[in-house]
Amino acid sequence: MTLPTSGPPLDLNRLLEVLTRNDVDFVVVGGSAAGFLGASRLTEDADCVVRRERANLERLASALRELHARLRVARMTDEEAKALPVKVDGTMLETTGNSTWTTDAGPFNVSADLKDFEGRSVPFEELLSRSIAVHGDGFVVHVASADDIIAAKTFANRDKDREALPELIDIRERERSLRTEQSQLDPEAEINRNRDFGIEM
Amino acid sequence: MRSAEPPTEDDVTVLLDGRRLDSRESVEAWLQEVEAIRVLEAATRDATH
Repeated sequence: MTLPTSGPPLDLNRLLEVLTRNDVDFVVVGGSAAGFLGASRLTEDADCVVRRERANLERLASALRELHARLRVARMTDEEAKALPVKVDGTMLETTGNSTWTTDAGPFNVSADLKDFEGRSVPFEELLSRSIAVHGDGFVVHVASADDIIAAKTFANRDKDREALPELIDIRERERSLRTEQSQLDPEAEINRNRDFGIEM
Repeated sequence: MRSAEPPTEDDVTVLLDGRRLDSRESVEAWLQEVEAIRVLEAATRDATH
């Protein structure tokens, strides 16, 4: 990985607060989504899939500007990247598939989509339909389902993805068996359990 | 919906046409292209107003 050594560390709460305050439509994916689902593995960066409509990309550009975002470029330090004449706007974001940024709230990666097990594109709307809403500190974000995260990590197949998979699979299986047991015993209890975890039904 | 490349080991920005922004030169070339698109968009906006 080429995460900058000189950039700020990840402040996930601040990053997500700025995105939601700027009304950006996004789904949290990757390691930070796994953390929301209960994974213990720490992540150094935040990953999101965004709705690719121009108006949403303009809102994303506003959020990135507020966070003083600069591109992460291989073999360039954060200071060198800051000096690039990058104007962050919707026009620029429309040309990118995956864009990688250093921000004042840490490393941030923006994707046009997620991949399934076979590398097919899973678009934003489909991810959103399977996501869960998680309440943060004064904001609500959509987090990709364990199934979608597992599929994307299986396809990406980098070292960090392979290392994260066993715990994610455990989380998914625990969730499935809990949901099955709860719904068989008491359908109302299942709804309350999700409320306790801040998960909107 | 246009599809993006999957994330890569070095986590660099990848454009929708598959180009990787993995050097200063590649970034500068891309920024020039984006500026040309902005000029075109502005001209289109002016023409329709």
